[in-house]
Amino acid sequence: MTFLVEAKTTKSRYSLPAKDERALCDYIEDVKKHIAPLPAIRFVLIIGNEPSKTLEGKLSALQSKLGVAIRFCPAKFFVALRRKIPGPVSADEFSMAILSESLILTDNFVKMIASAYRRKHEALVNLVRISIG
Amino acid sequence: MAKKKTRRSRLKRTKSQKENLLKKLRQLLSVDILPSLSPLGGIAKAIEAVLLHRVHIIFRPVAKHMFKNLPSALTISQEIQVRLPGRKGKAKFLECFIYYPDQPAEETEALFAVAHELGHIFLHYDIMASSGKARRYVELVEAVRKKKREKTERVFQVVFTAREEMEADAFAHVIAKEYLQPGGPALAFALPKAFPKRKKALTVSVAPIEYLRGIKAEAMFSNVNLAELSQLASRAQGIIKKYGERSVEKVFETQLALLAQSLGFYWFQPVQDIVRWICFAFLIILPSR
Repeated sequence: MTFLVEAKTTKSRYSLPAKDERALCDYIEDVKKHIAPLPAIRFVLIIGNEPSKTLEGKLSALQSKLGVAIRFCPAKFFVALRRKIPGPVSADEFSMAILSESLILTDNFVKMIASAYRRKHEALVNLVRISIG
Repeated sequence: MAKKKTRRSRLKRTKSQKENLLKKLRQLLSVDILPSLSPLGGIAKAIEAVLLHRVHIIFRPVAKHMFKNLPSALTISQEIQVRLPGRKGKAKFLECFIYYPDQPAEETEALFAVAHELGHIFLHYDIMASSGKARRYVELVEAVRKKKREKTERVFQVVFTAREEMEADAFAHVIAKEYLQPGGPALAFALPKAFPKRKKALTVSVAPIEYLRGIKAEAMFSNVNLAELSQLASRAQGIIKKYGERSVEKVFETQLALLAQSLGFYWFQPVQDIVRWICFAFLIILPSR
């Protein structure tokens, strides 16, 4: 799985200004050309400050234009994800949690990944305990 | 006499146990890892499969007793052929498997192990070998092991093109912090002209659970500053004062890169330099019970 991370720092709420949108379009097109031998882009994740009210509409339009799923994640949720999981995350679960959410991610995606991680970890611990005897 | 005999038989037993484990590891590599690695799209799957199903179950009980007195890294390498875009014919491909026991000697030891594995790969790769630089690289890695600072800098010159790139790499970050004094001579990260076609190494790092639970000062992802990330995103006044107006974006990117690596993702930057060859240094750390 390949995904793009776009880091954005802004004092005010992030609203995907026109110049950012243009740059992101160019960037995604460029990546598409050079992506081999990696798998195609599954989604683009913009990580930044809090979102503005108009962001969702703009992301929706951009998503349709580019044909790639785009999500915005406030940095605090990415931090929450790291705090909740004491290890690596499964790439499939990560992408599934992100893509099942709306264009602007909430802490739901963190909860989804964390609960999947916990289930797997518990099963693994039990399995190791049984194997060791 | 009896004591000597017991010791000899114990050594013999340990040797045969080690050989058995090596055999199992080789089998794991050829049966489970290699098929998943080709095509390259299976990388993530291979890592997950290894981590979640095989290694824990097969090796944990055995390894605990056997690896106490062994070096923290174990290399098993095997050549496979992979067709890579932009190259004529097939490229040689070498992977390294680093097994890290439950109770490592030191975190830095593991990092040297990774550097050492990279040395094998560089040595193997024909561009390096034909230019005669490979031997030098291995010497440099040895110098890193012996903690010779000036040679360490040269190792980074070979592996990374820019300081930013190094700072976004979890392994390199730690080594650099450990061995390069602050305020020392600026490092020239430009690759020597002998390597016109830049090759990138990709290290796959898996966050060890122990490190993340009780992060130590120089542990692998201790440079991830979770408390600052949101402030960086919002360009908080204190953050601008700390890093400077222009550097905030870069620091934020670096922090995200490290964070993504700590979650088990590989990080490419920038995308135009996408890898033409990939080397694997699997650092597998088993969770404690």
